Amino acid sequence: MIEKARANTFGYLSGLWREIAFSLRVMTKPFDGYWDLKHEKRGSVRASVFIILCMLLATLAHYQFSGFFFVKSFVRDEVSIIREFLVITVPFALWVISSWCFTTLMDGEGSMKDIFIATAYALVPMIIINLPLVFISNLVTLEEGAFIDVLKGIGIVWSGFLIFSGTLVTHQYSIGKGLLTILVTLAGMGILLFLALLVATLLQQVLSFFIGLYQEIGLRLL
Amino acid sequence: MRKAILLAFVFMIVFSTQVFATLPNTSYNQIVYDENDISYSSAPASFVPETEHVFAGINGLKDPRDIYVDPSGEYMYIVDTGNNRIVRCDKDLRPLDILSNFSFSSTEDSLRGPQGVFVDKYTDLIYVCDTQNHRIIVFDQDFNCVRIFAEPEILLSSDTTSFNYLPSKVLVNRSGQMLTIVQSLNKGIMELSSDGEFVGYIGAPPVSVDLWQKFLRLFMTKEQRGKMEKFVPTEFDNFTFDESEFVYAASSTQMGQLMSQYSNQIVVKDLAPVKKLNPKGDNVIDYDYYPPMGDIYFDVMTQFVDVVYLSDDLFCALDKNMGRLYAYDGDGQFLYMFGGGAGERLAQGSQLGTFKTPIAVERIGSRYFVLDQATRSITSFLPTEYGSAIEKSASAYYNGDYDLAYSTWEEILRMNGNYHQAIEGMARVLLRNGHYKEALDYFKIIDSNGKHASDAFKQYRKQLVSQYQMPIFVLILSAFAFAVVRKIWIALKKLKAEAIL
Repeated sequence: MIEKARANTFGYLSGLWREIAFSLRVMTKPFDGYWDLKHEKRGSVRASVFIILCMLLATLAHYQFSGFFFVKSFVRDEVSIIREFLVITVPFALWVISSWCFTTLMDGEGSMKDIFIATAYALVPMIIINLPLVFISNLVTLEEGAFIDVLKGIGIVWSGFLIFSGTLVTHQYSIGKGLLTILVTLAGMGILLFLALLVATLLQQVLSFFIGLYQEIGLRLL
Repeated sequence: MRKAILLAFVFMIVFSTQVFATLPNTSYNQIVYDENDISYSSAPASFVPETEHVFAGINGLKDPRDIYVDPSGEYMYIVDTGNNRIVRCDKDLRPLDILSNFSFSSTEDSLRGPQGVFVDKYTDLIYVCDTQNHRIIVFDQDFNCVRIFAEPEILLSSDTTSFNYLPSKVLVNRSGQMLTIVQSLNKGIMELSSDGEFVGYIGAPPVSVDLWQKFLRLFMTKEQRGKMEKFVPTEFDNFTFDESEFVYAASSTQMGQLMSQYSNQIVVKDLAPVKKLNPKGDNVIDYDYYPPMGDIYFDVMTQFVDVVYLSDDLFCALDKNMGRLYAYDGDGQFLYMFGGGAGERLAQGSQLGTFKTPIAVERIGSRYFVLDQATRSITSFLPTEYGSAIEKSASAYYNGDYDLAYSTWEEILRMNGNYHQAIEGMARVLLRNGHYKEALDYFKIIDSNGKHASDAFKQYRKQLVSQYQMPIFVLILSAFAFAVVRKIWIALKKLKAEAIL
């Protein structure tokens, strides 16, 4: 019994490890990597969630352990894990949903799961570059901080390229169509946000109407 | 027994009143901002009101607009606008003589609504802005009229038709050129030659049109475009010279724009409410992030109407909205603040040391004089131990006497532990004296991570590296050696395997 559980746990962990390690191949050889990711099922949702959590960890590590010159103490004191979590997950979710909406309309071959995995794996360069920078920022002066900015910029560009190539491979798009999809997806994120705000405002109105009604009844009739 | 109790009671009363009597009669808000300007804490009083002068002996003032201390520091001139006169007082504000009527080329003449006065330290001539008569008049020390500068012919302006020349303040520099603030002229300071001819404007920022405005212009009618072109509102309220004739100018109209654009660092320098203008007219004021602008977080916006230059690059600006005075050093670092009243619900200028409509500030020795237009009085302020210590430390640091500055800052910290400027200053002195670790620790206390702190860190890092040179060298070398050995090991293994195969 115990043996079996141990074997299961070990299998789970080693499987997860292989899936996460595959992100390095996606990072270095995006087109091959994304092809295998989708068609040979080398990635998984659990690994994607793990990567997103790593992203959160990298952000928090930046705030907590960066050098004196790079994070003001009043910023450090105000960091909220929940807010940072939302800052990462909300745009991520918007991107995935919006991308799925448009690629489905535009003959994309990827499912929502594929898009989710591809987008999460695209975050890896940012994590891998940012984590050592937290340590390095403790050793450099303000003027040398420019290098850190440059490296961070490289991480962002790299991730951006991975998202682009991920879109191309996952949906079998040409370059032009891929670019168009990304632009449309960005616009779609705005529309989604707008709709969400609209619904929230309307709900608030409806809610305040019923609360008002309840109070009126309570004060006037009873 | 009863006697003893009574005696104790009397003692209590006497001593308690004494305690209150020794407490300075301060106005309400004495504050100091922290390094990041995100919070402030209360501070001891830096200056306390001494007396309020109402000038009953000369039938009081009426709508006074300015005060001016002549370069010798012996006389104060009060511009009594409503009474059409200039009052000359000694430095304890006892009126000496009055200038209102004069004769020039054997015709009697008089001032009408004068608003500014200036004494040229090279020629001892008195320049008076006879505002409502549209002219600047020059007197000698005995109030004999020497010269009259009438309205200059303005060559550059295209819209002279609606222009009403109302000179309100004047400064005269070494070469006799006049710098004048002209009321409701929003092009900056008008520069006149020594013969009273128009030279140009200085101190107005160049008009910058951003992309969005250019885009908007495409859809505008001609009239709207014309309106936009006039959008260069740089109207100064008052100004003063420092020793080397740089102009410190206060402008109450800038703050609104500054607040709307404070993220744009280039624009902020042009919109600073207190400017230090070089002879070319560029703003050369120094500051870290915010220009000297009074309250950074406020209910009532700060609007500077006057500025007084103290010495050693220190200056003090007067806020008309809250009736507060803010002093800064040459790095634009806030030093102390005092006064109060104007915008606050509590005081409304009825308590000594608060104001209703403060309009001008001057300084003689260690005394401040603040003119209140509404209460028609001048209030003098004396420094406390704390206030004079702050000025002493700032001057000492400016003059390179770092030991004195350091000890003064220590003294200030005993009086006000929240005074981060002292810690910052001490850290800079430590940095200068080579105590890098201590300097860095001090910078860390107040979370000051600017250029100076970075320099301290750089030197400290250098120290550490040279201290642990050997271990670091050995570590790197051994890591390298290990890598090489491992490579060779693997290669050998491979060779062996191939040989066996």
